[in-house]
Amino acid sequence: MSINGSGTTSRPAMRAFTLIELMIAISLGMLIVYTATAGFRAAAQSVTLSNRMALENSLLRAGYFAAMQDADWWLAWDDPDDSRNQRLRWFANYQPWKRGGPFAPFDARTFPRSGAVGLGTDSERGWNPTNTWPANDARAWFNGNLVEQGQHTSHVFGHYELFAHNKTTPNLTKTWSAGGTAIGVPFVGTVTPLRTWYGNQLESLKNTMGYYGAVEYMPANAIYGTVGDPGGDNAFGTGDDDDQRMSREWCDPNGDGGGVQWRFANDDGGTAWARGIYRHTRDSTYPVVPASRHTSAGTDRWTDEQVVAAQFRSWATDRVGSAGNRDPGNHGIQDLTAKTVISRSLLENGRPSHWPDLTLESMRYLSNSRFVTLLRIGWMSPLTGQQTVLSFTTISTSLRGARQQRRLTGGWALPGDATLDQP
Amino acid sequence: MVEIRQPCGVRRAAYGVAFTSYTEIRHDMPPTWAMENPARRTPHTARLSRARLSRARLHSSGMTLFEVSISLVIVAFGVISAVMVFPSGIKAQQLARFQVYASAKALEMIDSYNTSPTANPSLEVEAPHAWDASPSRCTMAFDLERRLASYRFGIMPLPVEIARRLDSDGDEIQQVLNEGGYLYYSQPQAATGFSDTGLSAAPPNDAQKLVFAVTGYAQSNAVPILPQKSWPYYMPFPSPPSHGTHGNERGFSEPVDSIETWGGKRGILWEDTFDPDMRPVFWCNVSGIEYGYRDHQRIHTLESAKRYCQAALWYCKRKGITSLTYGSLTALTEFPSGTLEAERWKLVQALRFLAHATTSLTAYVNKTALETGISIDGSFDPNASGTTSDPFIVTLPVVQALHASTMNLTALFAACHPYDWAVPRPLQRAIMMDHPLIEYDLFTPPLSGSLFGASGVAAQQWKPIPSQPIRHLGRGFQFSNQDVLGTSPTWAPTAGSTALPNTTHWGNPAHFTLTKPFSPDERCRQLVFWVVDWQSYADVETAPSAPLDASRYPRGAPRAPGGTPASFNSLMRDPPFFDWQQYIYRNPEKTLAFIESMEGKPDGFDVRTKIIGSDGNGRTINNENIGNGNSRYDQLGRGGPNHKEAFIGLFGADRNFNLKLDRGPVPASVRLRASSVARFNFYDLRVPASLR
Repeated sequence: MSINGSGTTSRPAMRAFTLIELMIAISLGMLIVYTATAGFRAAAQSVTLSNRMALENSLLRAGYFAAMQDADWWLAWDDPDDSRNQRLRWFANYQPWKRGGPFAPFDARTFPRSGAVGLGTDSERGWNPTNTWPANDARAWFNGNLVEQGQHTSHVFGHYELFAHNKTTPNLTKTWSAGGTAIGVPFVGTVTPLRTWYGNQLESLKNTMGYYGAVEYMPANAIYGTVGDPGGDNAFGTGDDDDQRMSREWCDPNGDGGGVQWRFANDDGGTAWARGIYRHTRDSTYPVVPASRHTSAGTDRWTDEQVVAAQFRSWATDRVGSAGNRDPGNHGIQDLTAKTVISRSLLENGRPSHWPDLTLESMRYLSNSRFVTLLRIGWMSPLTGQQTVLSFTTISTSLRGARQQRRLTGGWALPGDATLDQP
Repeated sequence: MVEIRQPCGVRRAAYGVAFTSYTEIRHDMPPTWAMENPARRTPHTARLSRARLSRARLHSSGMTLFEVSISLVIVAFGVISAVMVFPSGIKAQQLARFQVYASAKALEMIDSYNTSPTANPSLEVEAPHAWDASPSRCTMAFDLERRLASYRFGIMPLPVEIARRLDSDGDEIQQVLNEGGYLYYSQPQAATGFSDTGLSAAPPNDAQKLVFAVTGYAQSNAVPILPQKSWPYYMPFPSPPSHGTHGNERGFSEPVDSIETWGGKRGILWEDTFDPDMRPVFWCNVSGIEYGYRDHQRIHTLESAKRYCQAALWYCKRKGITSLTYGSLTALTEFPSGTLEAERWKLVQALRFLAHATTSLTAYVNKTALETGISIDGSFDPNASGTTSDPFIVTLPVVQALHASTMNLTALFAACHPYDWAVPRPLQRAIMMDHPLIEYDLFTPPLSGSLFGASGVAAQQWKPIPSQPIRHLGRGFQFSNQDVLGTSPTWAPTAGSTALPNTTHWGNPAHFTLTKPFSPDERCRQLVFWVVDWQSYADVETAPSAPLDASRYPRGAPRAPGGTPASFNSLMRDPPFFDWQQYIYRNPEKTLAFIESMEGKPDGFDVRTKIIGSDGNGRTINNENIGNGNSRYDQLGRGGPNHKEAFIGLFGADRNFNLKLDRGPVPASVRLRASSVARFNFYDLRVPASLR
């Protein structure tokens, strides 16, 4: 509309859009709409994806922190604030058998203290938390015959019971032979060994906590063996005490997979004598077996005796025939993981349906001279069903450290409190 | 320029913008009051305004197509900019996820580096020349990536074919490769320490999406094993002179007059190469009567035990040790005053042998007899040396005191004299200080020679420098017919001197650095993680394993069975014992490697029976052949028709151990960009060490 000079209005000749202009306009409009739609769609998808990834990342981080919690605090094995999850503290105070779980406290029942305290004083008994086992402490050296086999000994090179024994007055009465020929004469009499501290420490650490715990507390260069076999054939019940042989439990293999399973010793290289940790653990794995409903074997349903007994055996993890054995029973890696991997949903108390399920698997064991904390975080997408895992090992708190974290009477220890390690 | 004024009075510049009714357009810039306060307008001005407005509307009846296009471009630019913001959010989330992966993997690597066993029990470690044995090779270096690049310790080299296609900021990946390093990926399973034996296939570890490398240079490490003599030698104490099984090679690796041990596996006494006086303690024959440890081990009677004691007492006499010392009923806890440092080994060895011999007596007498005393005759001189043994009465307290003295002084000697090798170290008390500090001298010309059995192929190795001169170097067990590095077994340095026995074989002590102060940055290296979808390549599993240098393939030490020197090939083909126990040797991907070409095989092809380390049922078996204990695809050539190709990973590998052949959608011609995820500084050890 325009205004002419007379003040009247008139409509100028106006033309409409041509069809082409209209089509172009429509096309451009559609392009704008499409672009905007695509932009919004991409934006929406990006936001959705970002949110989902953020959620998954949050859960992953939560899983990672939970894994670190396990590594740092051993909560999956023993919870100081939950008396229901403290079964590894159980101690079988049977006579003469005493066997405990990895968290059994060093107290008057498990590891009673007596005797004189100090370097070189072999009469000392019980756990002395202030003793650092210095390398120059002669009582901390193995004094048995390192080439004497548990099952084939004939004492050709004499009675090392004179130098080391679990007892303070072992009685040497045996006659010996080799190949049907008598060797020597019976010693006939008791002796007073030079050293009795080492064997007692080793036996008591083992009896209190099981194999994993004993190795962790012993020095890295320890020789595993005791002169004298205090009936220690790894079973609950009355044993057959033997003053004149190397301990069967430490030295003589017995079981599948290279002689592992029912004693500490394995037969790597045909060995049956006292030896260091390398050869014992080359074929064998010594785990901490939890009493947990989160194990696929349901170890929480085991009796206390069964839980404790499981800390006194090993599993074959190197020799193929046994390590890969999947038959029911006590064999290889499958059986080991069924009883020792704690696999739990971290969202078991409920989660929104669109959240991924989050699981944490934890396992602790000694294998190939290495204390391993194996962790696996897994999550499954509820949309795609895709399973993702992140598995890794990590440096973690030692069992001894964990025992020092725990107050003897329950709860977490504060400085100065009595702990499982230092009652 | 068109200026727009909005009612609020804000001025804005605009180009080709559609106007609205509350906006006035001014081409001639009238007074602003006329527009800001319409009530003050006059009719004239109102008319003028309307006319101008009409003209203006005529002039701007629509936007040109160009203007619309420009507008669209601007809109599109804005939209695209907005859209581009969103992926950055996704990238941030992805980066956060991979940073968690990298943290977990770095933790595992440091854990495995510090706690995995350092042993490679199936190696021959001694040879007269360093180049003829494996332990001085760089694969034994105690560096993070060297230690862990194994089928069991956590990482594997990415095929170089793939690594070469990856771009990264600053081209850091290519720089690592150019300098001879590797790019690594995570092994499918965590570093469990189970030797991967019997493990089932598992969902692939998401950490495999990462690749990583170590930047910064490794240090010159301490020598973990001196090839000429793999010290420390450990022995139980007390004990007889050291002896062991050997190769029946008198004159080649054994002294021509070596004494054999008893039946069964052939062995020799070798420790007497340092001190010939030990020989009668081990065995001798005087007037048809045998004496010493070997005789007692065979006869095991009271008389043989007594004769063993006689030999040990003669040794004491030869070393100037009297019954005032070894007959003491109080255990020795220190060396008698006046004993020269260089002479202390004599007392330790004398006590070691005598304690072992006298303890042997205890199996052949009863307690009463031992408390009374067992008489040992004197006047024994096995080799007409002019030295005759003293008589001695062995009692129970003496036996116990001798044992205790032996243990005490052996430990004391080992702790006080780590560079005096006259006495083996006590197995009952192995400590860090038993291992001497030795490094190679990189600043003097190396030793040179030729590879054994290789017809003059030249070889070189740096000269060793110990922290202190080694007193009483002795000889090595495996080649006890030869001096170590041209040095007399009994060589002893001048007191206080740092001079080494000769410059022909030993380095310059002034170049020893292991104990010198250093700043942290000198030993700091960096573990760098990138994320890249390398698993999407079409040849992700068919690309050959990364090439490995010869240090990954151990060889047997020189030998001459039947007097004929072994050939180079036979030494390469037959390193001793089990293949799978040579942990840090071999192609790290060996257990995952395919045993035949996957050419033409489709994506998803079942490879359960096509992997070296698979038992055919989806479990790794770590090279071991079930039943007979032999190695699969070992250096000897056992394994299959494509042995060599499979052994070095030429056919590729099931790198995620899902037991299927994976072929990604990305062709090999495409380059991918790796995004940096995380960096971790770590301390590079120079001395092998483990945490517990």
